[in-house]
Amino acid sequence: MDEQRVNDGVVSAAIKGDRDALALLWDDSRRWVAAIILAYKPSDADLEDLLQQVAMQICRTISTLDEPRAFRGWLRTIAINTARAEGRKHTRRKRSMLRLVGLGGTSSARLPEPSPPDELATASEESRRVYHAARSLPAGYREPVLLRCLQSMSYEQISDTMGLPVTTIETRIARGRRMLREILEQQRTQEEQRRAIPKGTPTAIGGAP
Amino acid sequence: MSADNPHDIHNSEDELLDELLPNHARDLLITRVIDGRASASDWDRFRKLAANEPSIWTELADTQNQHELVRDELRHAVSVADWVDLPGGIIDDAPTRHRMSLASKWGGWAIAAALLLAWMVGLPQLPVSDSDAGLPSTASMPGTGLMSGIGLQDAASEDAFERYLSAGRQSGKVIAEMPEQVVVETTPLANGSIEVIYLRQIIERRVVEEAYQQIRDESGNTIAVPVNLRSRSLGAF
Repeated sequence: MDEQRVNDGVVSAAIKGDRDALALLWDDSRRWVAAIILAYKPSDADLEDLLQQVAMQICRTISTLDEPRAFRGWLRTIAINTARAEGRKHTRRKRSMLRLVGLGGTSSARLPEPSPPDELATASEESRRVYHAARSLPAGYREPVLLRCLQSMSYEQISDTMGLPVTTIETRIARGRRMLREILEQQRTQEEQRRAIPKGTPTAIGGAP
Repeated sequence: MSADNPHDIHNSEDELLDELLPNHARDLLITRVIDGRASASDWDRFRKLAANEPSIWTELADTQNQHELVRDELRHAVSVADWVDLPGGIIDDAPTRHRMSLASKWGGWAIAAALLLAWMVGLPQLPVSDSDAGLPSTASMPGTGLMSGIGLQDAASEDAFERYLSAGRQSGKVIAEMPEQVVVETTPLANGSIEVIYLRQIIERRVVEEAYQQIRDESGNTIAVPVNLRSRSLGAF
């Protein structure tokens, strides 16, 4: 992200209806907007569709932005709301589908999870596992950790986007990375324990009389 | 290494966090080293810590590796953003494309005739003609014989819709209508009422030999590619 390109003057011009300025803003923002959507969207929601919704929303409402300095925070809010709205739709759709197939009354009933999205099709198993673990972090940690992985985002820019002090951002990234290490370590331990149990070993359920 | 790090590792906030969260200072040092923000004093502290607890090197290596794996995955995942531009100059056309985007997302793979049917039947109040919606003429679309058969042009839209459902159930084409409508957009009107754009969702059954999915090619053009339905389970297309 180039600070020289995206300054308050560009935002002001976009607010006044300058489409070139708005295009410049979008060009500089869309990758981190995508990262924020990824941090909040349901796993099977289509990222491109949600980005298109955000782009549409920007065009429609940029004129309502009062303070150019608030642009990043404003755009982040749009991205999060779009992703969360998609999450609510998914929940409603799944509930409706469960009712149709006669499973609506059982709270434990679950539709089969869809296969992983194509966006990860070429990734290795290990990197995919780490990425999914990062997306499972609590939202307050997940978002800064992911944004920091975009090389173009500095701590100051993440701070500006999230509306939090730089020290808080640093603490959350540091803590989030520890949590990620612990999640992966836990997964590794569980996997080793599973492998250590020979196939056909009787379990405690229905064990010896 | 950054020499102008304004945040001393042991300010009062960090001391408090260190008490509340074990390893807080250790985590901060690791993160500063990875992100190139460690000052000279941070490095001194890191070396002293490593002299007593060599395991911090492993933690640093693991964290660095995980950061790079997530970074590579994320770079790949967000690259789709490069294809998403702002809506074009014809701003009046934007709502239509927005709705079509939502509708196709809902349906996933879209047989054009079915999408057109949902559009026309689900939005009865809108003065949308085929040409207004940017869609091909109904008469030229395959598989819309049911619509002409139930006299959609003449009957009230709700009545026609019920007749469509009824006829569809009898023929086995319609399984059910989803009980909830999906609100796409709401617009307050000058007279105080609110225009609501929404989707009515109908589950249909169709026997097909092959199906196609819309994707974008390298140039950003939408193209249709065959979908292997035999490998698909429940989920979006």
